[in-house]
Amino acid sequence: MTGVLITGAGFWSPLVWLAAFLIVLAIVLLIRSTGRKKFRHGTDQTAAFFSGNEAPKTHVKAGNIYWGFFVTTGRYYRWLRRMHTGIVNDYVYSFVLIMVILLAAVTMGGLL
Amino acid sequence: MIDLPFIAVIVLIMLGISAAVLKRNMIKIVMGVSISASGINLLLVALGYREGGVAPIFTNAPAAQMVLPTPQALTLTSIVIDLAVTAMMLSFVILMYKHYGSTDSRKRRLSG
Amino acid sequence: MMAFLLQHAPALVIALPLVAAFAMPMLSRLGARAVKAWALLALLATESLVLLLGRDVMSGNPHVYALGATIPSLTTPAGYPIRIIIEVDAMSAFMAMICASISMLVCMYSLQYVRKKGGQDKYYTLLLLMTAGMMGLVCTGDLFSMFVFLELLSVSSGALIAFHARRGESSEAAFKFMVVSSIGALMVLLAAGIFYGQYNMLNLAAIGGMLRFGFLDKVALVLLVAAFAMKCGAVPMHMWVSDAYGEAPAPVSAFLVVASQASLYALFRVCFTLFGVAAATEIMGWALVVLGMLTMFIGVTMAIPQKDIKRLMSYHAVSQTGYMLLGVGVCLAVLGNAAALGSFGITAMQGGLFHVVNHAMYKGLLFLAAGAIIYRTGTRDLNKLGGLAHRMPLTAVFFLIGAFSISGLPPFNGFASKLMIYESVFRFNPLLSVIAMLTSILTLASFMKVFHSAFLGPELPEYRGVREMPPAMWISMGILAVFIMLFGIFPDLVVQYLVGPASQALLDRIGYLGGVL
Repeated sequence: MTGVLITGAGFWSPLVWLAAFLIVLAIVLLIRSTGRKKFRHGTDQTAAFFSGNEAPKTHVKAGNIYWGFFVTTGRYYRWLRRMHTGIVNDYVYSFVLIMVILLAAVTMGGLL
Repeated sequence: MIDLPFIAVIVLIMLGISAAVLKRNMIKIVMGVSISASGINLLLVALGYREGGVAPIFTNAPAAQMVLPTPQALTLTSIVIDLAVTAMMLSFVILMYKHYGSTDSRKRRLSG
Repeated sequence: MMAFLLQHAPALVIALPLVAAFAMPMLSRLGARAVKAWALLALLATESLVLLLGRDVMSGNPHVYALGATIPSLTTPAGYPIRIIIEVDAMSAFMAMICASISMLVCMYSLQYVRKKGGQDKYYTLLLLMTAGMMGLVCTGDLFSMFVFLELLSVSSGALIAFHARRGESSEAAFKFMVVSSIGALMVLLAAGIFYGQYNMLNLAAIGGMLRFGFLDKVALVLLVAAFAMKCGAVPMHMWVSDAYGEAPAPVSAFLVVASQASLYALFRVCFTLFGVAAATEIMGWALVVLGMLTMFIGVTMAIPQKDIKRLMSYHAVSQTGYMLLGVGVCLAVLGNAAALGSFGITAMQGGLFHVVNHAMYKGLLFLAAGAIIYRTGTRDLNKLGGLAHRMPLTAVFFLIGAFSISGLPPFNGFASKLMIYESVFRFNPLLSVIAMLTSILTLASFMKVFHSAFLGPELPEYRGVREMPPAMWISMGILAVFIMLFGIFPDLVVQYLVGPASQALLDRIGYLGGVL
């Protein structure tokens, strides 16, 4: 049958997924259509509710997104940034390092 | 000694790569890559050598064993490629000197 | 006519972009329009030849072509292979189709992206040379010509990375790229020299037939694997990727992704066909798996804090290469174990190869969308962008399709290939699958950051005059988006007709050797 991808441990059928998505979308639109149709745009009736406070008008900049994640993983990121120096000598050095490690693994791996 | 070319090859390649790893001046890094390439060219030519052989040209050839011609073709190709690569890297060093004012590889602006 | 083209197609797909590139300086006398038309025409012709060849190769036998022989299939006139032999089996055809298609779309996008007045003919010449180098790398059956085409690809890519010569950072990125690439290519040449010294042959099939796995062969294997792994951006040799892809013009970045995958193809060709199962593949398979894991995780965690949109996407390119290394590494590790190979090894390899074509498409779409943003707003800094979805809704939709695809959300194609990798790698070692899924989540987080910063939010006053992309750009992006959705909705057809024959050809070492000998 077309549209069914057999992976080793199961199957994935995107057509069935799409059909389910469309059915759920239809139900959502049906429920939405039973709401009120008469309301005024632009007044408090369509504004988001912020517990009575003013809605914030700023746009969070990219440097500030996920600050909690970066604070928690601060140690890992300090190590990672130190590793990415940007100096071309370090690029060649890491290549030589990997070559040496792979050589050791391949020549002495048979002894394990 | 029959192994002298191959020892020279290993020394040249290691010198070239250590220049690329250890030297700060970008022109010296380019020189290091060029020395490595010369080492590998020497390896290719030395592999084709037969003791007491003559040049692999059929016209008026003396009656003796010829050295192998294939590695000579490989070496010519490799010399030309190395020429193009060295010329390109040096032109990038010139552009970098014009914009950054120094040929130090540690004065890089792209990192992290 | 068709039979003549089909017989000579392996040589023509390499020769056509090369001849077109050399004819370009003559055409530049006629103006920029002639240059663009010539480049597009040459790439269209290459694409049709590749599709013709690919359709014939996928259904049956590998095509062998000896350059310079009286008839092209005369590979062993004296009992051993001589001359440069081009061997196109299903895996080569698969990669060649990806390269030709993406090169055509990149050329179409560049028609209106590259506005530099004097450099147009040089740009298209270099693009055609990159295509020729890539085609040569994936079609050739010869270790030395792999070196030659790898260097051709590296040199033309390096020149294209430094295309915006007004910024100093482009030359710095191009210098780093060239140093790293040339050292890698020299290691490939050293391995070719070692093989030549031992077996007096340079042909992949001939060496594969005669291989004894001694100490020098192990050294050659390590040199080849390390060099090709560096060229595709495996951690810890991945740092040039973020510099190079970040500084290149956007269509060139999309094309460099395919160049890295051509190096990945060379890595697989060496591991599976040249060395094969007799060469203790378990160690090399585990090495690729470990490299893949590191690449995935470090790639995505380094991508999240970036503030430059192209640099962020290039770290994601590194991370997705880790998935391909993981999938194919698992297959390599179980190559000697027939039960495991049949149960999950082949699915892992198919997942990895399916991920190659998916990655080329959605990463291409993402880089082209970033290029559209840079073209219209003039800035790459995510801190300065905002609210672009009001003015560029089409770009936002294409970006969202690419972002959902790279994160592996259904029903896009990223999900299908990642599912195959997760399920087969789970049966090899469950921890690997868990880390792969974690990487997927972090990828989604990172792309939501980019989408929010660039597109969502109130409209900023400095971008009030921004218009939508010009037609050449959204047509090429639209074609990619359509194919992403088609590959996502019919993944079984892709696996059956494209990826399946490719993975079978990669595992079928005897067939490859028999094609030449």
